[in-house]
Amino acid sequence: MSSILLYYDALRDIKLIEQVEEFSSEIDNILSSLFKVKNRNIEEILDKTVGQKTLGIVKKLVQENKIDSSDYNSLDKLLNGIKQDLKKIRILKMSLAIDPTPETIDRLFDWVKKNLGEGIVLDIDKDESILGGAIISFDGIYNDLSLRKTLEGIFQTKKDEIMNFAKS
Amino acid sequence: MKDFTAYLNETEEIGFVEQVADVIIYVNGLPKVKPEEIVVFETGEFGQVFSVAPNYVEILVFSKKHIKQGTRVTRTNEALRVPVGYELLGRVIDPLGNSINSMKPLKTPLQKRPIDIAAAGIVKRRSVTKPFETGILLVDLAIPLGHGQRELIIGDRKTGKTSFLTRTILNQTRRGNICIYAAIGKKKLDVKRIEEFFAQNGVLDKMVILASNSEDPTGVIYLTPYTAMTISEYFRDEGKDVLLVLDDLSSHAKFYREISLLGRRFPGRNSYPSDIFYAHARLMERAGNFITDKGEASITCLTVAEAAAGDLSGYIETNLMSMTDGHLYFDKDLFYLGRRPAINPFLSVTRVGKQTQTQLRRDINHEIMSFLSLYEKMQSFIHFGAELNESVKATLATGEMIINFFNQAINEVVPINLQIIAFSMLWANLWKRQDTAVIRKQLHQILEAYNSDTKIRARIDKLAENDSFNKLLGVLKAEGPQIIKEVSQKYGN
Repeated sequence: MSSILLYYDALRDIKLIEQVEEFSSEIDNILSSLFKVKNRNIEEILDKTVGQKTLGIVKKLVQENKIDSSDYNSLDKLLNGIKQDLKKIRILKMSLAIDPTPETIDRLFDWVKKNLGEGIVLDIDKDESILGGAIISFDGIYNDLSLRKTLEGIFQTKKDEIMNFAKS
Repeated sequence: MKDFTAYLNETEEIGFVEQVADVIIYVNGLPKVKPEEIVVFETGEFGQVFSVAPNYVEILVFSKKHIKQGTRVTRTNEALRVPVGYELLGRVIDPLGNSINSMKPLKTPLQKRPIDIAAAGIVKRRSVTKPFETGILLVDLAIPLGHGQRELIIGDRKTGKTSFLTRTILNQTRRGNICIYAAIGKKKLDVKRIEEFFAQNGVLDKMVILASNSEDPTGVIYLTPYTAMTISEYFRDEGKDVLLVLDDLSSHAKFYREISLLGRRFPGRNSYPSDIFYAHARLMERAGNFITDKGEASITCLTVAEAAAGDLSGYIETNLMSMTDGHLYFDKDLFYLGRRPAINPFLSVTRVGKQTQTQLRRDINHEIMSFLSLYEKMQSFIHFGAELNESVKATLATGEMIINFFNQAINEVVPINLQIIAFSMLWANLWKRQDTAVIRKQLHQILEAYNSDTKIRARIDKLAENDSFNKLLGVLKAEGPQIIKEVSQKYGN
């Protein structure tokens, strides 16, 4: 887990599991075109194979690791290392009743980072049946903090009062 | 059993399927899961925790349905329990306690018991003192068993092991004992045949057939002997003498090997897991003679092992021999010589059975074993033919007669008192070297008369009360011919 923190500055914009998957797939693209004969240098490969966001991240990593533009082997080693470390990223699964806005995701991510530490990404899915609140799973711990569960609890514990109210 | 969501809300622990290796499923999460705990998948399947590692949990799944990667799993905080009760009698069930016959729904017993428990300690055990009747002449007279004994039934394929077992079950159920027959990974057809055999003989309602077939998931087959032992323990605690047949543990060992190799356990001898001895010994230790709240009760365990080409020195076979109280060896060569049952008395062992015998039976046992030993030695003289002296010829003729006496028709069960008297009559030479076919016929008639005529039965039972063999032989010289005559007249010979 510690090695992922080495790349953490570069990867700080990766907050969701989808972004991890996308980033991992773009690394695969780079790796597969790394040793093609017609490529002249690393910059050209990166320009051809990845999107702007990943390009920025990888270029930053190349600079930080002082990799020469013709040193494909070092880049190959670096990218394979990142790929392996991406597999070790911890995932916090969260079910929400709404589609979160980017601002909400940022707030959630910052809260997670502050309270649970770094190297964690969010896996958010939408489940309208929970009505509100959230269901959170992390490191094998499951916590249903949804409005649905709260209401079910109320209906169970205060069944008689509700029935009396309905009758009146 | 509750559903996935209920368990999830109760335990508040979740895991996700990472990898599927046939019946072994690797799950991450479930931080507080315990070994052997039951877990439930969101698809409704369930499994048992096989092992717990720091980063993953191995689950042994009890379903044929393919479980996909990413499926959610939760704990139940429960060990695997199976329903036990009198409702199971007369039924064919699977190792999870469900009826196999969908046409006859099972009224599930209310009581449930965990299937893997530690064997009872020494305080609850008693010595094996009660003789166990198989109804097989050779076994009851020469290699006797006792209630609570664990006896290995070993031999090649198709040497009459199952026939011996079904006859023993038949005899025991008729004596009011409960029988549990566990078919481990057998063919469906074989199980059906066994069920039909017991149904035809009217004893199915006094026994439970527990069957897993070769198409079942390996995890379910693996459970079979444990569930069978749990059901046996229930009836034992009800004060019943139970006969448990495990058919067979060499197949069980193979299925356990498959699971262990899939679970990446380090392979040991013949690729079996290193804890195979422990797994089987722990199971066998649960059988025996016990003192329960309802008096002394026993679990007699007849464990089957299949030997390959008569080899008794295989890994699993020798393991089982060392954890049982003896073994009956079904010899392929004797089978081909036409001996039924093809039990080799010289290679068979009973460690606690002899202590249950009366003085008379002990005398007879001694006579038989020493004579058979002598006969075996004399066999090498046969090629001298006419040059043999009279005493050798007499020994060989008597030996042949005794070997023929031990030959039993399929499904013929001989009560112990009749066994004693019939053998003593033969030993006293009451048939005066008649043709073996005639002797066989008359013995069969005596058996029929014993089962149908209360007077003859009472007379034979009284004779069997004699306290020594010599005394009995003396009495039989006078009474034996009368019995033969009466029976012959009754059946019009």
